[in-house]
Formats: sequence, C-alpha cells, structure tokens
Amino acid sequence: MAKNVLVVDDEPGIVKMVESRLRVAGYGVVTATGGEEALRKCRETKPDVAVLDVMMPGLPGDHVAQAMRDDPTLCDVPVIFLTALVRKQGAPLDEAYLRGPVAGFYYLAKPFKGIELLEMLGKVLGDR
Amino acid sequence: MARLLPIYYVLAAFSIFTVAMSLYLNHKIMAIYTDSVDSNRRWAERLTQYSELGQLAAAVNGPPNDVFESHDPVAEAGRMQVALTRFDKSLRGLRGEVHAHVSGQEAAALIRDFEAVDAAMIEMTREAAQIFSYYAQNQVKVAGEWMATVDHRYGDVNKALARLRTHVGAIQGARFDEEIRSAGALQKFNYLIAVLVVVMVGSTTGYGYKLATREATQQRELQRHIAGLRDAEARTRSILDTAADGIVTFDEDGAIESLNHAAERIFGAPASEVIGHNFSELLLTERPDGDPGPGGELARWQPEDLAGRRSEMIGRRKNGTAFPLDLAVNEMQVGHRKMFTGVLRDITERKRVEEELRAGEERLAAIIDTAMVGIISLDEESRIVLFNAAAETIFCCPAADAIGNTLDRFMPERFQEVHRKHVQRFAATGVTTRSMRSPGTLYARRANGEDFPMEATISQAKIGGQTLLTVILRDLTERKQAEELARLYAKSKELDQLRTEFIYNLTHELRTPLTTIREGVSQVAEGILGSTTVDQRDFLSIVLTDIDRLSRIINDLLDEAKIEAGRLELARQPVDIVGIARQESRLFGARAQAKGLDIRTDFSDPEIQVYADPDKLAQVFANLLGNALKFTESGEVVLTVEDMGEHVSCAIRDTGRGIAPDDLPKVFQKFYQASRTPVTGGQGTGLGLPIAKAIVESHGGAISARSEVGAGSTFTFVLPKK
Repeated sequence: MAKNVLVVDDEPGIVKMVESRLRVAGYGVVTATGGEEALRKCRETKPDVAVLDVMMPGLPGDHVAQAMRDDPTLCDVPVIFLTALVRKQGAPLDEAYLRGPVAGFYYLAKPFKGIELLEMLGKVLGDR
Repeated sequence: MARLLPIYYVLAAFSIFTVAMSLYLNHKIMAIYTDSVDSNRRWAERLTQYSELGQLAAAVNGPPNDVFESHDPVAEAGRMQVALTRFDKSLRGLRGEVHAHVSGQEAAALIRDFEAVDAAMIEMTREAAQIFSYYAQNQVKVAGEWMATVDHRYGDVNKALARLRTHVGAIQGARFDEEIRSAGALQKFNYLIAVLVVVMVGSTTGYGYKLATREATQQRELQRHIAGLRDAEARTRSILDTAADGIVTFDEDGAIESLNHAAERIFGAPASEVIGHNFSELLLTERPDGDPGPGGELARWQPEDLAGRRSEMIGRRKNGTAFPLDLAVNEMQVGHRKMFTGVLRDITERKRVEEELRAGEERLAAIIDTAMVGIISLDEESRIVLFNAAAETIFCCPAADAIGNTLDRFMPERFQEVHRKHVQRFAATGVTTRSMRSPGTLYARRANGEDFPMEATISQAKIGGQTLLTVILRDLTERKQAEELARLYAKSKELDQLRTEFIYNLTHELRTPLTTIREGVSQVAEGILGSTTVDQRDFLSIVLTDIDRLSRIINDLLDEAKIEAGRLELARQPVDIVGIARQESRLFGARAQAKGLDIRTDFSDPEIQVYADPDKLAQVFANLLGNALKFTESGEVVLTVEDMGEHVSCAIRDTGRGIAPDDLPKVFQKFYQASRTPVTGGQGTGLGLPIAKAIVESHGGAISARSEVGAGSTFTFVLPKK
C-alpha cells in the first residue's frame, strides 16, 4: 500500500512540484500551505511521513513538528524539514541541527532536487 | 725652680767661703802647732844642753875633789883647766845661740842667768885654784878646808844653772801659754766656722728639702698629668674605636701607625697586619699623574698628595676586593714630626643608594620622557620647569623653548584668564590632584598656532618648600578622530550586519523559487509530465545547468556571509581526504573533458585520514579545481595530495595563463577578479578563493598561491591531520 506523505510549504509552487514528483514515484500526498493546516491534516490523515517547510507564516514548521511530538497519535511520524538554512530573520539554524537525523528529524536544504527528496524518503521509510 | 737658683748660688758661695775659711784656719793652727813643736824642741834641746852644761860644770868641779885622791895638784889643775875651757866654750856657744835666736826679755833674762853661771864658775875656779895652790904647798889641811868653799861655790854654779833651767822652763811655759792662747783665739774662729758649716749644712739641707719637695710635687703633677694623658688617650682610643668612620694615622713616609676598629672592619684586616705597612697599599685608586712606581706597580700615593683634601677613592680590602671609600686626610704636627690622619668611610652602601636614586631618577625621567601623555611642571611663578618629550610633540615645541616661559603661549586667549584663576583656586585648596574641567572641551594651542582639543589633570606637590604644579595632558585630536572612526566603524558594522542579514534573506528568497524552477524544469525534462522533443530536452538541460550555477552563486554568497559574520561552523569528523579529492576530480572530469583538458591526480597514499568537515573540504577542492579549469585553455590540471606526517598537503596546479606578481597577493581577497577574465563561461562571484582560504584557516591550516605568468598557477593548502 502506498505510503502517505504530508507535504507542507507556504510556497504553493514548491508544494505543487513536490506533490507531482511524489505521486509519480507512487506516494500518496496530502498537502498544506500553513502550520495550523498542516497539524490539522496530520491529525486527520495520520501520514507515514511529514515533509515540513520550517519558515512559514503563522505556525512555523519546527513548531508543527514539536506539536506532533507532543501528540501521542503522531509522535512517531518521521519529519523531514525543508529549509533554506534560515529559521527566522537574522538567526540561522545551527548547521549541525540541520544535518543528519537529530532527535528523529531529517533535514533537506533548499534548493533541493526532487531526486534528493525521493532518496531521503526511501531512507526514512526504510529505517522504520 | 728658677726662683731657687739665686739661693743655690748664695749657698754655693757660702759653702766655698766656709770651706776656704776652714782650710785657712786649719793652716793657721797647723802653723802654730808646727811653730810650737819646733820651739819646744829647741827649748828641750837647750834644756839638754844646759844640763850638759851642768855636767861640764861637774867636770870642772871634779879635779879639786880628785886632787885629794891623786895628790897631783898640777895634773888636776890641768884637767880642771881643760874642763873649764870646755865649759866656757859651751857656755859661750849657748850664749851666742840665745843671742842669735832668742829675743827680748827672754834673752836678757837668760843672758843674765848665763852671766850668773859664769860668775859662779869663776868664783868656783878661783877657789879651786886656791886648793891647788894649798895642795901644792902641801897645805893639804888648808886645802881640805878650802874644799868646803869650793863645794859652796859649785853649789852656786849649780844654783845659777838651775835658775837658767828654771828660766827656760818658765819661757817654755810662757810660750806654750801664748800658743795655747793663739790657738784658742783661732779655735774661736773654728767655732764660727763650725757654726757656718752648720748653717751651710742646714741651708743646703733646707734647700735640698725644698728641692726634693718641689721635685716630688712636680713628680706627682707629672704622674697626674701622665695619668690624665693616659685617660685621655684611652678615652680618645675608645672614641676612635667606637667611631663609625675608619681612622688611620700614618707618618710622613706613609707608614701606618695606628688604625681603629672601624678601619680594621673596613679593610677586613687586624691592626697588627696593617701597622707599619704603607697606607698606599690600602688604595686601588691610581695617582692622578698615573706615574707607575718602581717595578711598574701602581703609583704610590704620598701623604702630601692627600693632605688637606677629601676624595672618593677605591679601597682594597685584605682579601683583595675593591670598594669605594670616602677619604679625608689631615696633616698635623706632633712634636717635630709631621703626622697624617685619614678619616675614611666605606661608601659602598651610599654608592648603591646613590646608584639606585640615580637609576630611579633616570627611570622616572625615562618614564616621563616616554610617557604618551604630555607632562608639564610649573613652579610657583607659573614658569615651566619640566616639559617632556610627549609635550614637545603635542605642542610642536622643543623643551628648551618652553622651559622658563609661562603656559600662556600654549593656551588660546579665551582660556588664559580662566586658567590663571583655576590654578590659583587649585593652589589655595591644597587638593593634590584633580582633573581640569570646563563647560566645554578644553583647548590648547600648538607652537604653530593651531588649537587642539585636550584633557588635562593637574596635581600639586610640595618639593623642597616649593609648590610644583604638574599638568598631565592628552591631545584629544587623535582621540576625536578615533572616536569619529569608531563611530563610522560601528556604522559600517551595522551596515555590514544589515548586508549579511539581507544576503541571508535574499538567499532564502532566491532558493525557494529556484527550487520550484529547478524541480519544474527537471520534471519536464525527465518526461514525467509528458514526452518532450530532443530540442526541448536540450534547451531544458541548458536551463538546468544555469540553475545549478545560480545555485552555486547563491551558496557562495551565503558562505561568504557566514564567514563574514563569523558563523562558519565546522562539522569535523575523521574523514579520508584522498577519497574526497578523488570524488571532486571525478565530478569536474566532464567539465575538463568538455574543454579538452586533462585532470590528473597524484596521491601519496590511497587513503589519508584527517579530522575535518568533509563537505567543507569538498568545497575547497571544488573551488580550486573550478578556478583552475576556468583559467586554463590547454594542458592539464594536476591534483596532488601528500601525506607529510603531522600534516597533509594538497596542491592544484594548472597550465593556465598565470597570475601577475602584483595580483598574486590579492587573489584571496573577496570579489577580487581584476585581470582574471575567465576563458569561458561567465564571471564568478569572486568568492571561491576567499571561501577556500577561510575554510582552510578555520581547520588550522594555511593556503598559498604561486604563479608564473604564461606558465600556470599552483594553489597549495596544508591541513593538520588532527
């Protein structure tokens, strides 16, 4: 059965491109363009993995991830962060924080290639 | 003593007189005695002769008596005649002697006696002749009767003779009495002389006693004097010995006669070892004339050289060590002798203190002169007495020109009056230090008339009864400039920060659409969204290449921004640098081939472990390889990695056009691209090399570039393995 991926980014273009790439690769895709929406859809659909943009207006991606960790029904959903290394104005994320799977989070730096996302998804889901 | 001298002469004269008198008296007495003896002898002789005269008379008397026995009146008469002749002769002789030698009444008496004897003799002889006649006539009886008459007459003779002798005795006695009387008279003189002698002896004794008493007194005085001198000497010696200064006495030839304890201590030698030696041996200082003595020794100081002067010299202790000493020598006359006293002091400590003081002063002077702040001291008349080097620089005025002047020439007119009041008020308060304040900034005036801002502190100190005001001032011109610069720098930092943040935001903003573009184009090119023609795919491939380039430029900008902001963070881990080099050379292989270039690799080992950030290392190789390919038209690019033990050395050598020597130092500067137009492709960001340098240096390594125009360039970086 196809794995469901929650794709969240405040840029609709990104969401569209990622959705297209994932569907072609055979994934089921749920999309959202904001933090609150993402959290709601996450609770509704219980995705196998969440791809979250960090910097979003409203509820940022890392807050969404934290909320998921705090929710027992969602706490074991792996999260892949998409980031341009900037968390908020003038405060870049720790480079090490953005690299490997720290505390169950995965990171993908923008601009990423579709193929890189597919590789990471395969790895994340394969780990499970 | 002198007072007793006349007495002595009187006594002496008196003695001589007494003795002379005594001798004379003796002589007189002796003369009397001699006369007396002589006279006595003469009178005794006379008595004897007069007795003999008696015998001669007896001889005359004999024959008349004998005739009665011989019965020869003739013969007897003859014998009587002979005897009578002898008697007469003797009587005549004696009478003549008395005439000759006896004078005066004595002689007359004696002569009368002689005549009486003579007369009695005549009578007797006449009677005797009667006898003889009678006897011759044989009238013996008558003769016999006459005999009585003769005997009677003989008795007369004897009576006369006895009278003569009695007279002699009387004369003798008279004479004796006379002599005794004379002697007695002289004896009286003798008593006088005895009295004189007693007086003389008494006087002499008295005089002697007087002398002896006086002598004893003088002796006592002398003893007391000597004792006093001894005391004084002991006192002097103890004073000398307790004196802190060394005291040495020496004679005209320089031979040491005494030295006190302090001198012994100073020279480290007991007096016994020094006394008798020449004082010159205690000195190391050469004579000013430097005249070497006999045998080339140090010239000896003569006592006269030093007398009356005080000098600092070098002393020599017994153990040979030298030390500075202060020596004052005085000449003195002791009896007929010249003596010298040297008072000396070991001034090692004083010298040291002086040296320290001097050093301290020099240090202070040096500090004052090297101080960055201007230091100016003023005396009570506000005249400058000290003007240090910094003040010279600040006021553009040599100290020689400033000293003696007032501060007015260094002050703008508007401050002069204020300053004077300020100084007066300050002096009145007695406060030691305070900073000068004024409503605005203080200004001073340089010698060239230029006014400049300054700050100053003023302090007062009483030195030797004089109040010295010291102004310490700082030229604020540079500080004002520096403050301005600092302000500008802060401003620029702020701008820089803004720029960095801007770049961060920009990259983020660029990356998001870039992701969309790249992903969209990729999916179209991959045919996911439907089939495409070859031409379409060719175009999309070019678009993707440029998207990658854009992506790299954005990454470079982000890296640069991070480096600039000091936010380049490393994720160091053990990694194989050869593997990274190999991978990067492969990645650039296609680009090299496209330009007809060859990338060669030369690794000293198949694997070299280093502790580094693999992604950043890859970036360094990529930047250097990309640069090499960009500026090389033909030939090759050689990548070498060499294990150097503690380090690893990596080099990227190309056969490109090279870099001009003037440009070489600038290649690691940001955005530097002058005269380095790439052979193909567009301009780079100019950030590749600075980023590579920053990464290498953040790993504790170093990067350098060598180049020869027309022959190529080599970029080498060395990293520590750990």
